[in-house]
Amino acid sequence: MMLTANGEIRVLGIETSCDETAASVVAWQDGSPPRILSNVVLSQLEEHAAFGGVVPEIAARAHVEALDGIVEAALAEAGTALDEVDAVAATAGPGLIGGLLVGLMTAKAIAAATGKPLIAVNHLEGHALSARLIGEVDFPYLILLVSGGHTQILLVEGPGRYERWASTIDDAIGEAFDKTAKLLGLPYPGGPNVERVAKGGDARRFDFPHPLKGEARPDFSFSGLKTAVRQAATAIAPLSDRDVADIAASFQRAIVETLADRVARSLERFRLEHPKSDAPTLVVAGGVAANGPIRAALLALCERHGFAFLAPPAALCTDNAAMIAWAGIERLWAGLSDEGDPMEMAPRSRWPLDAKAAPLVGAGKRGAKA
Amino acid sequence: MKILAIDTAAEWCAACLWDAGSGRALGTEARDIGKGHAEALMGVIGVALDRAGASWRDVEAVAVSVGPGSFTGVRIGVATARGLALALKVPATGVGTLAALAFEAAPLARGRPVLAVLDARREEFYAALYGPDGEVHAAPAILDLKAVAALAGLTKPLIVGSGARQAAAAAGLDPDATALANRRTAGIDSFARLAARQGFGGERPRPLYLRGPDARPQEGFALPRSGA
Repeated sequence: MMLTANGEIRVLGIETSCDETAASVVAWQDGSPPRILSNVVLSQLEEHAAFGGVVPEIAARAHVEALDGIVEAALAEAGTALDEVDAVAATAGPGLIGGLLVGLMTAKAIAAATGKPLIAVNHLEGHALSARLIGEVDFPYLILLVSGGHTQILLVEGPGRYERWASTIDDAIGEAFDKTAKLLGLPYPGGPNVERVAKGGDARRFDFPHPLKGEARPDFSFSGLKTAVRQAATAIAPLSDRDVADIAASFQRAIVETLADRVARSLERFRLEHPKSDAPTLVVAGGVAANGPIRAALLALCERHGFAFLAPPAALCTDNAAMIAWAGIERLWAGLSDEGDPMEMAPRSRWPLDAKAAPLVGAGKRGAKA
Repeated sequence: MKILAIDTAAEWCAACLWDAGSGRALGTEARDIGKGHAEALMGVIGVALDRAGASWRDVEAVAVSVGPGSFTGVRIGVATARGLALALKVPATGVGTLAALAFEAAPLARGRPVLAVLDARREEFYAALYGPDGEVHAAPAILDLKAVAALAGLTKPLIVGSGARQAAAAAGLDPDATALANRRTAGIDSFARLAARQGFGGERPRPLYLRGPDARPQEGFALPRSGA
Protein backbone atom coordinates (compact mmCIF):
# COMPACT_ATOMS: atom_id res chain seq x y z
CA MET A 1 0.00 0.00 0.00
CA MET A 2 1.59 3.24 -1.09
CA LEU A 3 0.77 6.54 0.45
CA THR A 4 1.70 10.07 -0.44
CA ALA A 5 3.96 12.02 1.90
CA ASN A 6 1.13 13.29 4.07
CA GLY A 7 -0.44 9.83 4.41
CA GLU A 8 -3.24 10.67 2.02
CA ILE A 9 -4.51 8.44 -0.78
CA ARG A 10 -5.67 10.27 -3.88
CA VAL A 11 -7.45 8.32 -6.62
CA LEU A 12 -8.71 9.28 -10.07
CA GLY A 13 -12.01 7.51 -10.80
CA ILE A 14 -13.54 6.87 -14.23
CA GLU A 15 -17.12 5.71 -14.90
CA THR A 16 -18.57 4.89 -18.35
CA SER A 17 -20.81 1.87 -17.78
CA CYS A 18 -24.06 3.37 -19.07
CA ASP A 19 -24.96 6.83 -20.35
CA GLU A 20 -22.91 9.08 -18.06
CA THR A 21 -19.31 9.93 -18.90
CA ALA A 22 -17.76 10.70 -15.52
CA ALA A 23 -14.43 11.34 -13.80
CA SER A 24 -13.59 12.34 -10.26
CA VAL A 25 -10.71 12.79 -7.86
CA VAL A 26 -11.24 11.64 -4.26
CA ALA A 27 -8.72 11.99 -1.44
CA TRP A 28 -8.72 10.27 1.92
CA GLN A 29 -6.48 9.72 4.90
CA ASP A 30 -7.05 7.44 7.85
CA GLY A 31 -8.99 9.18 10.60
CA SER A 32 -10.49 11.86 8.35
CA PRO A 33 -13.61 11.88 6.21
CA PRO A 34 -13.04 11.41 2.48
CA ARG A 35 -12.81 14.54 0.35
CA ILE A 36 -14.41 14.67 -3.08
CA LEU A 37 -12.04 17.04 -4.87
CA SER A 38 -14.02 16.91 -8.09
CA ASN A 39 -17.00 14.99 -9.48
CA VAL A 40 -17.60 15.72 -13.16
CA VAL A 41 -20.51 14.02 -14.93
CA LEU A 42 -21.52 14.48 -18.54
CA SER A 43 -24.98 13.04 -19.15
CA GLN A 44 -25.91 11.72 -22.59
CA LEU A 45 -29.62 12.16 -21.85
CA GLU A 46 -30.29 14.15 -25.01
CA GLU A 47 -28.47 11.74 -27.31
CA HIS A 48 -30.78 8.91 -26.22
CA ALA A 49 -34.06 10.78 -25.65
CA ALA A 50 -35.43 10.16 -29.16
CA PHE A 51 -34.93 6.42 -28.73
CA GLY A 52 -36.79 6.11 -25.43
CA GLY A 53 -33.80 4.46 -23.77
CA VAL A 54 -30.05 4.09 -23.84
CA VAL A 55 -28.74 2.90 -27.23
CA PRO A 56 -25.44 1.08 -26.59
CA GLU A 57 -23.67 2.12 -29.81
CA ILE A 58 -24.67 5.76 -29.39
CA ALA A 59 -23.46 5.64 -25.78
CA ALA A 60 -20.09 4.16 -26.77
CA ARG A 61 -19.60 6.80 -29.45
CA ALA A 62 -20.34 9.60 -27.01
CA HIS A 63 -18.00 8.20 -24.34
CA VAL A 64 -14.96 8.02 -26.63
CA GLU A 65 -15.47 11.61 -27.80
CA ALA A 66 -15.84 13.01 -24.30
CA LEU A 67 -13.89 11.00 -21.78
CA ASP A 68 -10.39 12.50 -22.03
CA GLY A 69 -11.85 15.99 -21.73
CA ILE A 70 -13.89 14.95 -18.69
CA VAL A 71 -10.79 13.47 -17.04
CA GLU A 72 -8.89 16.70 -17.70
CA ALA A 73 -11.76 18.70 -16.22
CA ALA A 74 -11.87 16.49 -13.11
CA LEU A 75 -8.11 16.87 -12.55
CA ALA A 76 -8.26 20.64 -13.12
CA GLU A 77 -11.23 21.10 -10.80
CA ALA A 78 -9.44 19.05 -8.14
CA GLY A 79 -6.29 21.13 -8.59
CA THR A 80 -4.50 17.82 -8.93
CA ALA A 81 -1.79 16.93 -11.43
CA LEU A 82 -1.68 13.32 -12.60
CA ASP A 83 1.68 12.97 -10.77
CA GLU A 84 -0.17 13.58 -7.51
CA VAL A 85 -2.64 10.76 -8.12
CA ASP A 86 -1.82 7.48 -6.35
CA ALA A 87 -3.94 5.17 -8.47
CA VAL A 88 -6.47 5.10 -11.30
CA ALA A 89 -9.79 3.32 -10.67
CA ALA A 90 -12.15 2.56 -13.53
CA THR A 91 -15.49 0.77 -13.79
CA ALA A 92 -14.82 -2.56 -15.51
CA GLY A 93 -18.40 -3.85 -15.31
CA PRO A 94 -21.22 -4.65 -15.18
CA GLY A 95 -22.72 -2.46 -17.89
CA LEU A 96 -22.70 -1.73 -21.61
CA ILE A 97 -19.54 -3.21 -23.07
CA GLY A 98 -18.80 -0.40 -25.55
CA GLY A 99 -18.70 2.26 -22.86
CA LEU A 100 -16.84 0.04 -20.41
CA LEU A 101 -14.14 -0.54 -23.04
CA VAL A 102 -13.63 3.19 -23.53
CA GLY A 103 -13.32 3.83 -19.80
CA LEU A 104 -11.12 0.85 -19.06
CA MET A 105 -8.75 1.48 -22.00
CA THR A 106 -8.43 5.16 -21.11
CA ALA A 107 -7.64 4.15 -17.52
CA LYS A 108 -5.14 1.52 -18.65
CA ALA A 109 -3.38 4.09 -20.83
CA ILE A 110 -3.22 6.70 -18.06
CA ALA A 111 -2.07 4.18 -15.47
CA ALA A 112 0.58 2.62 -17.73
CA ALA A 113 1.98 5.92 -18.95
CA THR A 114 2.25 7.35 -15.43
CA GLY A 115 3.31 4.15 -13.68
CA LYS A 116 0.31 4.21 -11.32
CA PRO A 117 -1.64 1.14 -10.28
CA LEU A 118 -4.90 0.47 -12.10
CA ILE A 119 -7.87 -0.72 -10.06
CA ALA A 120 -10.71 -2.36 -11.99
CA VAL A 121 -13.86 -1.54 -10.03
CA ASN A 122 -17.22 -3.29 -10.08
CA HIS A 123 -19.84 -0.58 -10.68
CA LEU A 124 -22.13 -2.19 -8.09
CA GLU A 125 -19.34 -2.05 -5.51
CA GLY A 126 -19.10 1.66 -6.28
CA HIS A 127 -22.78 2.09 -5.38
CA ALA A 128 -22.51 -0.25 -2.40
CA LEU A 129 -19.65 1.70 -0.79
CA SER A 130 -20.81 5.18 -1.82
CA ALA A 131 -22.61 5.72 1.50
CA ARG A 132 -19.23 5.72 3.24
CA LEU A 133 -18.20 8.71 1.13
CA ILE A 134 -20.72 10.91 2.90
CA GLY A 135 -21.04 9.55 6.39
CA GLU A 136 -19.70 7.14 8.93
CA VAL A 137 -21.40 3.89 8.10
CA ASP A 138 -19.88 0.82 9.68
CA PHE A 139 -19.94 -2.65 8.17
CA PRO A 140 -22.11 -4.60 7.90
CA TYR A 141 -25.05 -2.73 6.42
CA LEU A 142 -27.72 -3.30 3.80
CA ILE A 143 -27.84 -1.57 0.46
CA LEU A 144 -30.88 -1.33 -1.76
CA LEU A 145 -29.76 -0.66 -5.32
CA VAL A 146 -32.58 0.57 -7.54
CA SER A 147 -31.88 1.81 -11.06
CA GLY A 148 -32.75 1.25 -14.70
CA GLY A 149 -30.49 -1.78 -14.78
CA HIS A 150 -30.51 -3.14 -11.24
CA THR A 151 -32.86 -3.98 -8.40
CA GLN A 152 -31.16 -5.77 -5.56
CA ILE A 153 -30.45 -5.84 -1.86
CA LEU A 154 -26.94 -6.66 -0.75
CA LEU A 155 -25.39 -7.23 2.63
CA VAL A 156 -22.19 -5.19 2.62
CA GLU A 157 -19.63 -6.74 4.96
CA GLY A 158 -16.61 -4.88 3.63
CA PRO A 159 -14.82 -4.07 0.39
CA GLY A 160 -14.99 -7.18 -1.77
CA ARG A 161 -17.38 -8.90 0.66
CA TYR A 162 -21.01 -8.95 -0.43
CA GLU A 163 -23.98 -11.24 -0.07
CA ARG A 164 -26.88 -10.74 -2.39
CA TRP A 165 -30.03 -11.16 -0.37
CA ALA A 166 -32.63 -10.22 -2.93
CA SER A 167 -32.85 -9.46 -6.62
CA THR A 168 -35.44 -8.93 -9.29
CA ILE A 169 -36.59 -12.07 -11.03
CA ASP A 170 -37.54 -10.15 -14.20
CA ASP A 171 -37.44 -6.40 -14.91
CA ALA A 172 -35.42 -3.79 -13.06
CA ILE A 173 -37.51 -1.23 -11.20
CA GLY A 174 -36.28 1.61 -13.42
CA GLU A 175 -37.37 -0.38 -16.47
CA ALA A 176 -40.89 -0.53 -15.06
CA PHE A 177 -40.90 3.28 -14.76
CA ASP A 178 -39.47 3.75 -18.26
CA LYS A 179 -41.94 1.35 -19.88
CA THR A 180 -44.90 2.88 -18.08
CA ALA A 181 -43.74 6.34 -19.18
CA LYS A 182 -43.46 5.19 -22.79
CA LEU A 183 -46.94 3.68 -22.69
CA LEU A 184 -48.35 6.94 -21.36
CA GLY A 185 -46.46 8.99 -23.95
CA LEU A 186 -44.29 10.68 -21.31
CA PRO A 187 -40.79 11.75 -22.33
CA TYR A 188 -37.59 9.89 -21.49
CA PRO A 189 -36.28 9.43 -18.83
CA GLY A 190 -39.44 7.84 -17.52
CA GLY A 191 -38.83 7.90 -13.78
CA PRO A 192 -38.90 11.65 -13.11
CA ASN A 193 -41.77 12.15 -15.56
CA VAL A 194 -43.97 9.44 -14.04
CA GLU A 195 -43.30 10.97 -10.62
CA ARG A 196 -44.15 14.45 -11.93
CA VAL A 197 -47.53 13.60 -13.48
CA ALA A 198 -48.39 11.22 -10.60
CA LYS A 199 -48.46 14.22 -8.24
CA GLY A 200 -51.79 15.32 -9.71
CA GLY A 201 -53.30 11.85 -9.99
CA ASP A 202 -55.61 9.63 -7.98
CA ALA A 203 -53.42 6.78 -6.71
CA ARG A 204 -56.53 4.74 -5.72
CA ARG A 205 -58.30 4.78 -9.09
CA PHE A 206 -56.51 1.63 -10.24
CA ASP A 207 -55.61 -1.28 -8.01
CA PHE A 208 -52.52 -2.64 -9.71
CA PRO A 209 -50.93 -5.90 -8.53
CA HIS A 210 -48.15 -6.01 -5.96
CA PRO A 211 -45.93 -8.81 -7.34
CA LEU A 212 -44.60 -11.25 -4.70
CA LYS A 213 -46.18 -9.17 -1.91
CA GLY A 214 -46.48 -11.16 1.28
CA GLU A 215 -44.24 -13.98 0.06
CA ALA A 216 -41.44 -15.11 2.33
CA ARG A 217 -38.76 -14.95 -0.35
CA PRO A 218 -37.23 -11.47 -0.39
CA ASP A 219 -37.00 -10.97 -4.16
CA PHE A 220 -38.57 -8.43 -6.51
CA SER A 221 -40.70 -8.75 -9.63
CA PHE A 222 -42.03 -5.98 -11.84
CA SER A 223 -43.05 -7.50 -15.16
CA GLY A 224 -46.56 -8.46 -13.99
CA LEU A 225 -47.17 -4.93 -12.80
CA LYS A 226 -46.01 -3.57 -16.14
CA THR A 227 -48.45 -5.88 -17.96
CA ALA A 228 -51.34 -4.93 -15.67
CA VAL A 229 -50.67 -1.25 -16.29
CA ARG A 230 -50.66 -1.79 -20.03
CA GLN A 231 -53.92 -3.74 -19.94
CA ALA A 232 -55.70 -1.22 -17.75
CA ALA A 233 -54.48 1.71 -19.81
CA THR A 234 -55.30 0.05 -23.13
CA ALA A 235 -58.84 -0.67 -21.91
CA ILE A 236 -59.59 3.03 -21.35
CA ALA A 237 -57.60 4.52 -24.25
CA PRO A 238 -57.64 7.16 -25.69
CA LEU A 239 -56.18 8.58 -22.47
CA SER A 240 -57.04 11.98 -21.09
CA ASP A 241 -54.55 13.94 -18.99
CA ARG A 242 -56.58 12.84 -15.98
CA ASP A 243 -56.23 9.17 -16.99
CA VAL A 244 -52.47 9.52 -17.46
CA ALA A 245 -52.07 11.16 -14.06
CA ASP A 246 -54.24 8.51 -12.35
CA ILE A 247 -52.40 5.61 -14.01
CA ALA A 248 -49.02 7.09 -13.12
CA ALA A 249 -50.09 7.68 -9.52
CA SER A 250 -51.64 4.21 -9.16
CA PHE A 251 -48.56 2.59 -10.72
CA GLN A 252 -46.26 4.51 -8.40
CA ARG A 253 -48.37 3.51 -5.39
CA ALA A 254 -48.08 -0.15 -6.37
CA ILE A 255 -44.30 0.20 -6.78
CA VAL A 256 -43.87 1.97 -3.46
CA GLU A 257 -46.02 -0.52 -1.53
CA THR A 258 -44.34 -3.50 -3.21
CA LEU A 259 -40.89 -2.15 -2.51
CA ALA A 260 -41.69 -1.55 1.16
CA ASP A 261 -43.08 -5.07 1.54
CA ARG A 262 -40.09 -6.66 -0.21
CA VAL A 263 -37.40 -4.62 1.58
CA ALA A 264 -39.01 -5.39 4.96
CA ARG A 265 -38.04 -9.06 4.51
CA SER A 266 -34.36 -8.17 4.35
CA LEU A 267 -34.57 -5.77 7.30
CA GLU A 268 -36.11 -8.59 9.35
CA ARG A 269 -33.39 -10.98 8.24
CA PHE A 270 -30.66 -8.49 9.15
CA ARG A 271 -32.19 -8.13 12.64
CA LEU A 272 -32.16 -11.91 13.09
CA GLU A 273 -28.62 -12.42 11.83
CA HIS A 274 -27.05 -9.36 13.43
CA PRO A 275 -28.93 -9.00 16.73
CA LYS A 276 -26.06 -7.07 18.32
CA SER A 277 -25.87 -4.41 15.63
CA ASP A 278 -26.79 -1.23 17.53
CA ALA A 279 -27.08 0.94 14.44
CA PRO A 280 -28.48 -1.17 11.61
CA THR A 281 -28.51 0.84 8.43
CA LEU A 282 -30.23 0.66 5.07
CA VAL A 283 -28.52 2.58 2.29
CA VAL A 284 -30.32 3.28 -0.96
CA ALA A 285 -28.53 4.02 -4.22
CA GLY A 286 -29.24 4.18 -7.93
CA GLY A 287 -31.24 6.56 -10.07
CA VAL A 288 -34.65 5.38 -8.78
CA ALA A 289 -33.56 6.44 -5.29
CA ALA A 290 -34.22 10.01 -6.46
CA ASN A 291 -37.99 9.26 -6.47
CA GLY A 292 -39.62 11.22 -3.63
CA PRO A 293 -42.44 8.82 -2.67
CA ILE A 294 -40.00 5.88 -2.73
CA ARG A 295 -37.60 7.71 -0.43
CA ALA A 296 -40.45 8.63 1.91
CA ALA A 297 -41.71 5.05 2.04
CA LEU A 298 -38.25 3.65 2.74
CA LEU A 299 -37.66 6.22 5.45
CA ALA A 300 -40.96 5.27 7.12
CA LEU A 301 -40.13 1.58 6.78
CA CYS A 302 -36.72 2.07 8.39
CA GLU A 303 -38.28 4.03 11.25
CA ARG A 304 -40.70 1.17 11.89
CA HIS A 305 -37.84 -1.35 11.95
CA GLY A 306 -35.39 0.78 13.93
CA PHE A 307 -33.02 1.17 11.01
CA ALA A 308 -31.08 4.25 10.08
CA PHE A 309 -31.90 5.25 6.50
CA LEU A 310 -29.20 6.75 4.39
CA ALA A 311 -29.81 8.14 0.92
CA PRO A 312 -26.73 9.77 -0.57
CA PRO A 313 -27.42 13.04 -2.42
CA ALA A 314 -28.57 12.63 -6.02
CA ALA A 315 -25.09 13.39 -7.43
CA LEU A 316 -23.72 10.35 -5.60
CA CYS A 317 -26.84 8.17 -5.97
CA THR A 318 -26.92 8.18 -9.75
CA ASP A 319 -23.95 7.03 -11.79
CA ASN A 320 -20.82 9.00 -10.95
CA ALA A 321 -17.07 8.51 -10.77
CA ALA A 322 -16.55 9.68 -7.19
CA MET A 323 -17.99 6.37 -6.01
CA ILE A 324 -15.59 4.53 -8.34
CA ALA A 325 -12.59 6.47 -7.01
CA TRP A 326 -13.81 5.80 -3.48
CA ALA A 327 -14.23 2.06 -4.14
CA GLY A 328 -10.66 2.15 -5.43
CA ILE A 329 -9.50 3.77 -2.20
CA GLU A 330 -11.40 1.23 -0.09
CA ARG A 331 -9.88 -1.64 -2.09
CA LEU A 332 -6.36 -0.22 -1.81
CA TRP A 333 -6.76 0.34 1.92
CA ALA A 334 -8.13 -3.17 2.43
CA GLY A 335 -5.18 -4.57 0.47
CA LEU A 336 -7.43 -6.14 -2.14
CA SER A 337 -5.97 -6.72 -5.57
CA ASP A 338 -7.61 -7.58 -8.84
CA GLU A 339 -7.53 -11.15 -10.11
CA GLY A 340 -4.73 -11.21 -12.65
CA ASP A 341 -3.03 -8.25 -14.29
CA PRO A 342 -5.54 -5.40 -14.65
CA MET A 343 -3.68 -4.28 -17.80
CA GLU A 344 -4.86 -7.53 -19.41
CA MET A 345 -8.37 -7.31 -18.07
CA ALA A 346 -11.37 -7.26 -20.37
CA PRO A 347 -14.45 -5.39 -19.19
CA ARG A 348 -17.35 -7.57 -18.09
CA SER A 349 -20.88 -6.76 -19.19
CA ARG A 350 -22.05 -9.11 -16.43
CA TRP A 351 -20.31 -9.17 -13.10
CA PRO A 352 -22.32 -10.07 -9.99
CA LEU A 353 -20.89 -8.72 -6.73
CA ASP A 354 -21.86 -11.91 -4.96
CA ALA A 355 -20.41 -14.64 -7.17
CA LYS A 356 -22.03 -17.36 -5.06
CA ALA A 357 -25.61 -16.14 -5.39
CA ALA A 358 -27.75 -18.13 -7.78
CA PRO A 359 -28.57 -16.10 -10.88
CA LEU A 360 -32.27 -15.19 -10.98
CA VAL A 361 -32.28 -13.35 -14.27
CA GLY A 362 -30.20 -13.14 -17.39
CA ALA A 363 -28.21 -16.28 -16.68
CA GLY A 364 -26.80 -17.06 -20.09
CA LYS A 365 -23.40 -18.04 -21.33
CA ARG A 366 -22.06 -14.68 -20.18
CA GLY A 367 -23.08 -15.57 -16.63
CA ALA A 368 -25.41 -13.94 -14.17
CA LYS A 369 -26.35 -10.38 -14.98
CA ALA A 370 -25.70 -8.99 -11.55
CA MET B 1 10.28 12.88 -33.19
CA LYS B 2 9.45 9.45 -31.80
CA ILE B 3 5.88 8.43 -32.64
CA LEU B 4 4.04 5.61 -30.94
CA ALA B 5 1.63 4.19 -33.53
CA ILE B 6 -1.20 1.81 -32.62
CA ASP B 7 -3.75 -0.03 -34.73
CA THR B 8 -6.66 -2.09 -33.45
CA ALA B 9 -9.15 -1.38 -36.25
CA ALA B 10 -9.21 -4.91 -37.69
CA GLU B 11 -7.86 -8.33 -36.71
CA TRP B 12 -4.36 -7.03 -35.99
CA CYS B 13 -3.33 -5.62 -32.65
CA ALA B 14 -0.19 -3.68 -33.54
CA ALA B 15 2.12 -1.03 -32.14
CA CYS B 16 5.45 0.46 -33.10
CA LEU B 17 7.75 3.19 -31.95
CA TRP B 18 8.69 5.10 -35.09
CA ASP B 19 11.56 7.53 -35.37
CA ALA B 20 10.47 10.19 -37.81
CA GLY B 21 13.98 11.62 -37.96
CA SER B 22 15.62 8.48 -39.30
CA GLY B 23 12.43 7.22 -40.95
CA ARG B 24 12.53 3.79 -39.36
CA ALA B 25 10.80 1.69 -36.75
CA LEU B 26 12.73 1.38 -33.49
CA GLY B 27 10.54 -1.43 -32.15
CA THR B 28 7.43 -3.20 -33.43
CA GLU B 29 4.96 -5.77 -32.16
CA ALA B 30 2.05 -6.92 -34.31
CA ARG B 31 -0.27 -9.81 -33.50
CA ASP B 32 -3.00 -11.21 -35.72
CA ILE B 33 -5.45 -11.91 -32.92
CA GLY B 34 -8.88 -11.37 -34.45
CA LYS B 35 -10.47 -10.65 -31.06
CA GLY B 36 -9.35 -9.58 -27.62
CA HIS B 37 -7.68 -6.26 -28.47
CA ALA B 38 -8.63 -4.73 -25.12
CA GLU B 39 -6.76 -7.45 -23.26
CA ALA B 40 -3.75 -7.49 -25.59
CA LEU B 41 -3.10 -3.86 -26.48
CA MET B 42 -1.13 -2.62 -23.45
CA GLY B 43 1.09 -5.71 -23.63
CA VAL B 44 1.65 -5.18 -27.37
CA ILE B 45 2.67 -1.55 -26.78
CA GLY B 46 4.95 -2.68 -23.94
CA VAL B 47 6.75 -5.17 -26.21
CA ALA B 48 7.17 -2.56 -28.96
CA LEU B 49 8.72 -0.11 -26.47
CA ASP B 50 10.95 -2.84 -25.01
CA ARG B 51 12.21 -3.78 -28.47
CA ALA B 52 13.00 -0.12 -29.08
CA GLY B 53 14.85 0.03 -25.77
CA ALA B 54 12.52 2.90 -24.95
CA SER B 55 10.26 3.90 -22.07
CA TRP B 56 7.01 5.85 -21.98
CA ARG B 57 9.00 9.04 -21.48
CA ASP B 58 10.52 8.61 -24.96
CA VAL B 59 7.11 8.83 -26.66
CA GLU B 60 6.74 12.27 -28.19
CA ALA B 61 3.50 11.76 -30.15
CA VAL B 62 0.79 9.14 -30.57
CA ALA B 63 -0.73 8.03 -33.88
CA VAL B 64 -3.78 5.81 -33.97
CA SER B 65 -5.81 4.08 -36.62
CA VAL B 66 -9.31 5.62 -36.58
CA GLY B 67 -10.96 3.24 -39.06
CA PRO B 68 -13.14 2.56 -40.84
CA GLY B 69 -13.08 -0.89 -39.34
CA SER B 70 -14.54 -2.62 -36.31
CA PHE B 71 -16.40 0.02 -34.28
CA THR B 72 -15.25 -1.60 -31.05
CA GLY B 73 -11.68 -2.10 -32.24
CA VAL B 74 -11.39 1.51 -33.37
CA ARG B 75 -12.72 2.77 -30.04
CA ILE B 76 -10.21 0.64 -28.14
CA GLY B 77 -7.37 2.25 -30.09
CA VAL B 78 -8.70 5.79 -29.97
CA ALA B 79 -9.51 5.66 -26.23
CA THR B 80 -6.03 4.33 -25.53
CA ALA B 81 -4.33 6.93 -27.74
CA ARG B 82 -6.25 9.78 -26.14
CA GLY B 83 -5.53 8.45 -22.65
CA LEU B 84 -1.83 8.18 -23.47
CA ALA B 85 -1.75 11.68 -24.94
CA LEU B 86 -3.41 13.05 -21.81
CA ALA B 87 -1.04 11.27 -19.44
CA LEU B 88 2.17 11.88 -21.40
CA LYS B 89 1.18 15.45 -22.35
CA VAL B 90 1.99 14.75 -26.00
CA PRO B 91 -0.13 15.29 -29.13
CA ALA B 92 -2.15 12.53 -30.75
CA THR B 93 -3.43 12.24 -34.27
CA GLY B 94 -5.75 9.89 -36.12
CA VAL B 95 -4.89 8.09 -39.35
CA GLY B 96 -7.58 6.47 -41.49
CA THR B 97 -7.24 2.83 -42.51
CA LEU B 98 -8.16 3.64 -46.13
CA ALA B 99 -5.55 6.41 -46.32
CA ALA B 100 -2.89 4.18 -44.72
CA LEU B 101 -3.64 1.31 -47.13
CA ALA B 102 -3.43 3.65 -50.13
CA PHE B 103 -0.21 5.15 -48.76
CA GLU B 104 1.28 1.69 -48.32
CA ALA B 105 0.30 0.70 -51.87
CA ALA B 106 1.45 3.92 -53.54
CA PRO B 107 4.88 2.51 -54.59
CA LEU B 108 3.00 -0.26 -56.47
CA ALA B 109 0.67 2.16 -58.26
CA ARG B 110 3.18 3.41 -60.85
CA GLY B 111 1.52 6.80 -61.16
CA ARG B 112 -2.05 5.52 -61.02
CA PRO B 113 -4.50 6.77 -58.42
CA VAL B 114 -5.18 4.34 -55.56
CA LEU B 115 -8.69 3.24 -54.65
CA ALA B 116 -8.83 1.75 -51.15
CA VAL B 117 -11.89 -0.48 -50.66
CA LEU B 118 -12.80 -2.38 -47.51
CA ASP B 119 -15.65 -4.85 -47.28
CA ALA B 120 -18.18 -3.28 -44.90
CA ARG B 121 -20.58 -6.27 -45.11
CA ARG B 122 -24.31 -5.87 -45.79
CA GLU B 123 -23.27 -5.48 -49.45
CA GLU B 124 -21.57 -2.19 -48.71
CA PHE B 125 -17.98 -0.98 -48.93
CA TYR B 126 -15.84 1.65 -47.28
CA ALA B 127 -13.97 3.36 -50.09
CA ALA B 128 -11.75 6.34 -50.78
CA LEU B 129 -9.72 7.43 -53.80
CA TYR B 130 -6.25 8.94 -53.52
CA GLY B 131 -3.89 10.50 -56.07
CA PRO B 132 -0.39 9.14 -56.61
CA ASP B 133 0.98 11.48 -53.91
CA GLY B 134 -1.71 10.65 -51.39
CA GLU B 135 -3.98 13.62 -52.18
CA VAL B 136 -7.66 12.86 -51.56
CA HIS B 137 -9.71 12.57 -54.75
CA ALA B 138 -12.76 11.00 -53.12
CA ALA B 139 -13.05 11.18 -49.34
CA PRO B 140 -13.82 8.03 -47.32
CA ALA B 141 -17.47 7.05 -47.71
CA ILE B 142 -19.71 4.02 -47.45
CA LEU B 143 -20.86 2.95 -50.92
CA ASP B 144 -22.65 0.09 -52.63
CA LEU B 145 -20.77 -2.01 -55.16
CA LYS B 146 -22.21 -0.09 -58.10
CA ALA B 147 -20.85 3.20 -56.81
CA VAL B 148 -17.46 1.63 -56.05
CA ALA B 149 -17.34 0.17 -59.56
CA ALA B 150 -18.17 3.57 -61.02
CA LEU B 151 -15.26 5.14 -59.11
CA ALA B 152 -12.93 2.38 -60.29
CA GLY B 153 -14.13 2.44 -63.91
CA LEU B 154 -13.69 6.18 -64.18
CA THR B 155 -10.15 6.46 -62.89
CA LYS B 156 -8.55 3.04 -63.63
CA PRO B 157 -6.80 3.00 -60.26
CA LEU B 158 -4.80 0.44 -58.38
CA ILE B 159 -7.42 -1.04 -56.07
CA VAL B 160 -6.37 -2.16 -52.59
CA GLY B 161 -7.99 -3.64 -49.52
CA SER B 162 -10.37 -6.47 -48.64
CA GLY B 163 -12.99 -5.24 -51.13
CA ALA B 164 -10.51 -4.83 -54.01
CA ARG B 165 -11.31 -8.00 -55.95
CA GLN B 166 -15.06 -7.42 -55.86
CA ALA B 167 -14.58 -3.80 -56.90
CA ALA B 168 -12.27 -4.76 -59.79
CA ALA B 169 -14.67 -7.45 -61.00
CA ALA B 170 -17.66 -5.12 -60.82
CA ALA B 171 -15.76 -2.49 -62.79
CA GLY B 172 -14.66 -5.06 -65.38
CA LEU B 173 -11.02 -4.48 -64.53
CA ASP B 174 -8.25 -7.03 -64.66
CA PRO B 175 -7.46 -8.75 -61.34
CA ASP B 176 -3.90 -7.34 -61.62
CA ALA B 177 -5.46 -3.95 -61.00
CA THR B 178 -5.55 -5.04 -57.35
CA ALA B 179 -2.94 -5.26 -54.59
CA LEU B 180 -3.04 -5.99 -50.84
CA ALA B 181 -6.42 -7.50 -51.63
CA ASN B 182 -6.70 -9.56 -48.44
CA ARG B 183 -6.02 -6.67 -46.08
CA ARG B 184 -8.47 -4.96 -43.72
CA THR B 185 -5.86 -2.59 -42.39
CA ALA B 186 -2.41 -1.28 -43.26
CA GLY B 187 0.89 -2.30 -41.72
CA ILE B 188 1.69 -0.45 -38.52
CA ASP B 189 4.66 1.33 -40.11
CA SER B 190 2.33 2.88 -42.67
CA PHE B 191 0.23 4.45 -39.92
CA ALA B 192 3.35 5.90 -38.29
CA ARG B 193 4.78 7.23 -41.56
CA LEU B 194 1.50 8.76 -42.64
CA ALA B 195 1.07 10.38 -39.22
CA ALA B 196 4.57 11.87 -39.48
CA ARG B 197 3.61 13.28 -42.86
CA GLN B 198 0.20 14.61 -41.63
CA GLY B 199 1.71 16.28 -38.57
CA PHE B 200 0.23 16.57 -35.10
CA GLY B 201 -1.37 20.01 -35.06
CA GLY B 202 -4.94 18.92 -35.72
CA GLU B 203 -7.86 17.81 -33.59
CA ARG B 204 -7.82 14.83 -31.24
CA PRO B 205 -8.24 11.49 -32.96
CA ARG B 206 -11.90 10.59 -33.53
CA PRO B 207 -13.28 7.30 -34.84
CA LEU B 208 -14.16 7.37 -38.52
CA TYR B 209 -17.19 5.06 -38.50
CA LEU B 210 -18.75 5.98 -41.86
CA ARG B 211 -21.88 4.14 -40.73
CA GLY B 212 -24.57 5.31 -38.34
CA PRO B 213 -25.25 3.65 -35.01
CA ASP B 214 -28.18 1.61 -36.38
CA ALA B 215 -30.76 2.85 -33.91
CA ARG B 216 -34.30 3.85 -34.77
CA PRO B 217 -36.46 6.16 -32.73
CA GLN B 218 -39.00 4.06 -30.92
CA GLU B 219 -42.59 4.71 -31.81
CA GLY B 220 -45.86 2.96 -31.47
CA PHE B 221 -45.60 2.15 -27.78
CA ALA B 222 -47.60 5.11 -26.55
CA LEU B 223 -51.35 4.75 -26.28
CA PRO B 224 -53.53 7.29 -28.09
CA ARG B 225 -54.47 10.41 -26.15
CA SER B 226 -57.82 12.16 -26.07
CA GLY B 227 -58.05 15.92 -26.33
CA ALA B 228 -59.24 16.22 -22.73
